Amino acid sequence: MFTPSRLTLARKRRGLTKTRLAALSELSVRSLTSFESGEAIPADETLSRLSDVLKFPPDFFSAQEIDEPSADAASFRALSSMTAGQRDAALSAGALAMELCGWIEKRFVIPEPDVPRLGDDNPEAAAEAVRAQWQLGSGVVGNMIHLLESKGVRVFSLAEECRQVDAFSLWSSDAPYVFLNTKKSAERSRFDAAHELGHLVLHGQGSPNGRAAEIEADRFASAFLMPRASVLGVAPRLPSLDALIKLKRRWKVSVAALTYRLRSLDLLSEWHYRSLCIEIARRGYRSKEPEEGPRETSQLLAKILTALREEGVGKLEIASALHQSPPDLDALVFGLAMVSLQGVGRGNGKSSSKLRLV
Amino acid sequence: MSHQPVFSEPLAVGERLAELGLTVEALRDAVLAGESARNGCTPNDPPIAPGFVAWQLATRTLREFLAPDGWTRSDAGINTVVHPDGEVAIVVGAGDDRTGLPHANPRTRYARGPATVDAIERNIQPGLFDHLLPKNASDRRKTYVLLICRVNEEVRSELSLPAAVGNDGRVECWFERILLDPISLGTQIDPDSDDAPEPPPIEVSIRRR
Repeated sequence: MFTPSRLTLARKRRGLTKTRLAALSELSVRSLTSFESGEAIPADETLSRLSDVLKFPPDFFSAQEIDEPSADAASFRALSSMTAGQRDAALSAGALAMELCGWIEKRFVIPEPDVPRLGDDNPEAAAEAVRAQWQLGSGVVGNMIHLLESKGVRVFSLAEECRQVDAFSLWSSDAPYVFLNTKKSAERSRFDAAHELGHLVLHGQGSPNGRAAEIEADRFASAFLMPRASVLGVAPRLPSLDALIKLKRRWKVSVAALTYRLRSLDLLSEWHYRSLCIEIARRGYRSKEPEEGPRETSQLLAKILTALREEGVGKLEIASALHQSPPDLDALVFGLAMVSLQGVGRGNGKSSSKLRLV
Repeated sequence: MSHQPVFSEPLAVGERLAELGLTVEALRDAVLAGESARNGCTPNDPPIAPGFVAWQLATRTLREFLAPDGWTRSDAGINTVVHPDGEVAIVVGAGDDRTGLPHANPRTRYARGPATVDAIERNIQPGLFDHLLPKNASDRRKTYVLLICRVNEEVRSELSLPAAVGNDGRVECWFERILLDPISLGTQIDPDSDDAPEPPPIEVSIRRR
């Protein structure tokens, strides 16, 4: 049994056009198109060639239909500067993550989604409303990823070749997903997580793209990570950059994000804000965060992968149960739960068949 | 000299400044810019540096802030910024520790030079001889002083119109005083102290089906 949509997904995941894939696998564009549309079924030998080129196991192409999230449902930071290929690669990685998630949910009870969809009228008020719903008061969010996971958000790593995308999020079947670039500084990645939460909350109903939506999500993130009351309580009136570098640790944000927040709360004059920004750029803090904090990782994935490992189920077994390649699985948890995936489940030939039972 | 008008209520201050073509923000930004520059000085800077850079940056920022409204700089004798109609000018100057207090009479911290004294003399309106009022704007010009006083972590400031210079050369009488809200520079926490207490860890609970 051949599933056409899976061929399309695998091709997009690798960022290939039909023409390019046809050339790489020595097929005509016309035959490839007919495979993807379901008009024709590739012969075994052809499928194995496609499988080699695309680096997906052959049985990936015969598994059940897979849902690919639509571009409309996802929030992309820089949609206009992205190519369609980059966008599709990110979305198809999203589809693979959903497969993994579905697989996990058959085996584990994980937190139910508790993310309100409030609309985009007032990002600052929305951030306060979410904090109220989650009973966070105006305290510091100790770990943004753990917080999201505890509220039912599925957090995954953005694949290497999709890094230009920065981060993105989407709702799928009433479950919220966030994909983070785990190669950024800890502070940037935290801000991204809050920014994506902003999209889920503010733009959960409609098409969330465009410059205005990005500004709204930034304002949400800024207010969510640095609540007004908490900043007003401790903010210095005329801080030096060095004082801000010390202060930013309190909210675990970048010094640039704190400076922006102080300006938006009118705690810095335009002149002072500008001179701090110049100093931040001059010292190179835009690209290298000073006094970077520890990186946040996933608690959910770590717990699940640890539990599975104790049952003798490792990366290879999970990948094979999902008909995915181990590197694709690695990419989804890269930087989030790397350690747990390494060298597990080897030599236990029985485990993969055990997995298929459920 | 206790009968000079003193504006200290925010509303009255805003209205009076508006009559002069000014805003609280313009003056506050200038004051903050100067104090921020002062904060940048270290013990290795020569002793006059903190006061100098505070004056320099306050003057420059005020000129920059007001330039879009048509104000221009004048460095003839004293370093001022001049209203487009030429009849109001502002010079930045250090005030003593009575600056910004409504019921006190502040003085400039230092003796003023002859150019300031000349400017002050032009401030004097010979009410009885109105018909003799000078015709050209620069002769009618009123030169205000933006008095700034830093006391520890508080900055007090006022925009005041000098009336007379005392024997020691410091301005000690004012026709008018427009007081700005004091600005507290102090942090309410010590940035060197420990960070906020770590919030309790968030538990993501999972359970095997």
